[in-house]
Amino acid sequence: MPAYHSTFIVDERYTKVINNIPLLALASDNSVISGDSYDITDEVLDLFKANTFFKNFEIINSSDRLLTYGILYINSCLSLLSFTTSKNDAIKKLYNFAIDSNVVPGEPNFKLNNMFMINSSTTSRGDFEELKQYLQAFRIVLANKLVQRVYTDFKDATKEAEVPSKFWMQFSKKKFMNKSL
Amino acid sequence: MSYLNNPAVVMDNGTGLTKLGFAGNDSPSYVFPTAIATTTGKSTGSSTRTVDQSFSNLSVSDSNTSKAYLTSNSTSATNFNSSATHSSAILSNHLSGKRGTEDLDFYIGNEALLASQSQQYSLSYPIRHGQVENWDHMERFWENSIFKYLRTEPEDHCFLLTEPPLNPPENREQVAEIFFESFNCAGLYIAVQAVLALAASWSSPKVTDRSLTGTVIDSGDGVTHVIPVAEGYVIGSAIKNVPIAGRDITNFIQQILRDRGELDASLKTAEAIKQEFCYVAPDIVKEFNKYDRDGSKFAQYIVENQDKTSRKLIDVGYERFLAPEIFFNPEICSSDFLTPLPTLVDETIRSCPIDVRKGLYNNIVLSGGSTMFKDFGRRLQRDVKTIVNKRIEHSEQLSGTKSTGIDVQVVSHRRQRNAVWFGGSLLAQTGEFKSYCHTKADYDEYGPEIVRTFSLFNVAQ
Repeated sequence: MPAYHSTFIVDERYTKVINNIPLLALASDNSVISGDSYDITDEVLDLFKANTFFKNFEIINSSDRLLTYGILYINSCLSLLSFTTSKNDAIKKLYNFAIDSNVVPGEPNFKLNNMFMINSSTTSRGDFEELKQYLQAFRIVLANKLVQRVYTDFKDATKEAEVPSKFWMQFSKKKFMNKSL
Repeated sequence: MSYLNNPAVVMDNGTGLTKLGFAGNDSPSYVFPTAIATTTGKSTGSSTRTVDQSFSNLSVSDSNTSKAYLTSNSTSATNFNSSATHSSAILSNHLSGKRGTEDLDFYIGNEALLASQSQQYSLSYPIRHGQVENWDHMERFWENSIFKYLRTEPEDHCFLLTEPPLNPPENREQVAEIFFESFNCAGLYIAVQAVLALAASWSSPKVTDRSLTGTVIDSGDGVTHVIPVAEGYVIGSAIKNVPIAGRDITNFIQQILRDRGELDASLKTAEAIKQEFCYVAPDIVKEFNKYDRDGSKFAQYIVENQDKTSRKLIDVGYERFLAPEIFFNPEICSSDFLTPLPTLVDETIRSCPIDVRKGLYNNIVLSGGSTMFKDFGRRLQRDVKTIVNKRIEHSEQLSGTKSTGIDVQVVSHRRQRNAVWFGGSLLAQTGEFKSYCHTKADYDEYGPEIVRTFSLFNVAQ
C-alpha cells in the first residue's frame, strides 16, 4: 500500500488550475456554498501523519500537488514550534509565517518545480498573482486548523492543551519525501 | 532398547533463541539465547585473577540493568536471569584456576550473557543466519543443553533437531558425528524448520486436512523468510527473505519514542511496548483519526528502575499500530527495501511450480515471535487476496473466460511463537517417529552419510 492520495477530483471546467496547481475551494471562503465543510486543508491534516513516513509519492491527481504542498508546509510549521510554545505564541508565529513565506510554484526559486512538472513560461502575471493570493489563503486556513489540532489534549479531544501535543510534535523532524519547502 | 519408551528430545537451535524440551509437551521446557561464554585468557597469574574477579562481581551488579534487555526476550518458564546473587554465584564458581580444565569452563544461554560481563569470558553466538558457524562451540552448547538443562542421558533418547532450509548436507553429517560419537545418542532425526512450522499449524481449528503443503512465513528477530513447502519438500529456488524483523520493529519504536521526547527511550522499553501494545491496523489513516478523536486509545507504560524506587510514565501512542505496519509498508522505516510482505508472498508463490500454487495460497502459515501481533494474519490475508483477485480479474478480461478463483487463507494459531519447536514435539510424539530416526547402529554400519536423507513423515494417515 503506497502513500495516500488526495480524494478531491479536479474538474478543470469548474476549478481553475494555475501552474499545474488547482485552486480548490476552501470551506472558510464565504463565496463558496458547499454542503459539507470538508475541504482540501482538512484532508491535508488528516493525511499528514500517515504520509510523512513515506519517501516516495506519485502524483496522480493534480490535487495531489496541493496535498504535497500542504504536508510540506505543516512540516515547516511544526519545526517552528517547540515543546513549550504557548498557544497564543503559536498562532502569531504561524500567522506571520503564512504571510511571509511566499514563494509561488513556478517561480525559479520554488524547490518543487520539477516534481510538480510546472511549466510557467506561458503563465500571465495576473495568474501568478491569483495563485499567490490563493496559496496565502490556503496557508492561513491550514495554519489555523493546525493550531486547533496541535493544542488539543490528546487524552480528551474536547479539552484544550497548554503546550503542543507531543503526538504532533513527534513529526516535526520527519520529512515527507526528504524534501522541504 | 530402553529408549523406545522415553519421549524424544526436541531441540530447535535458532539464530537468536534455543528451544529445548521433550516431545509430547505443549511448550518447550527451556527457551534461552543461543549464546555461549568461553574463557578468553590463557592461564594468568593468580594475583591478577582475584582482582579481576572482584571487579567482575562489582560490574555485574552495576550493569544488570543495562544488559537486562538482552535476556528479556526469553519467554522461558524458568528464568535464569533473575537475581544478582545468582550471577555472582556463577562467577565465583569458575574453574579457570584449575589447570587443564579450561575447556569445561563455559556457560550457555542467559548464564552466558551474565558471565560475559566479566573480563574473563567472551560471548559468542555459534549460529549465524540459522546455520552453525562454530562447531566446537555448538558441541559444547549441546553438551550443556543435554546434561545441565534437560538432565537426560542421550543414549536413552531419540533426538529431533531442526535445520534451516537449504542447509548443506555436510552440516547434517557434522551434526550426526557430534550426536552419535560424542553423545552416543539412541536415534537422530533432523527436520527442516519450515516443515515443522507447517505441522504446528495443525493445531489450528482452521486446518482441516493435515497436509505438508503451504507457505511458511517465519519471522524472528533478525530476518523474515517466506518459504514454500510442497508435500514436505522445501522449494529452495523460490525462498525469499525480508530484511525486516523483530529488531527493526523495536528500533522503529525507539526512534518514535525519541522523536516524541519520552522520559525513557531505551531499547528495553521499546521492546516491552512492542510485546505488550502493538497490533496491526487495517488502514493507518483511519487509525490515526481514531486516536485523535478518542484519547482512550493511547496507553501508558510504566518503567520502574531496578530497586523500584522511581517510576517513569511513558505514553504509548501511534507506534502501537505503526510499528507492525513496517511489514506492510517497509517504506516508512527503511529506504533500501521497499517491497511489502504481501507482495513478496505473492511473488514467492508465483515462482513455484504451477501445480502446487493453489495449495500454497490456501495454506499460508505464520511462525515466529514477530508474527504474534494481533490481526497480523487477517491483514496479510486481505492484502494477498487483493493482489491475487486483481490479477485474476485482469486475466479474465484478457482471456474472456471465467476463473474458478483462488482461495487465499492465512493460518494463525496459538503456538505461533514456538511453532517450529511445537511442530517437532507433535511429530516426535507419534509412534512412527522412532522408526524414521537413524539409530546408532545404522550410523556405525554406514557412517555419517546416512543422515543426508531422512524419510518424510507419513502424514496421510
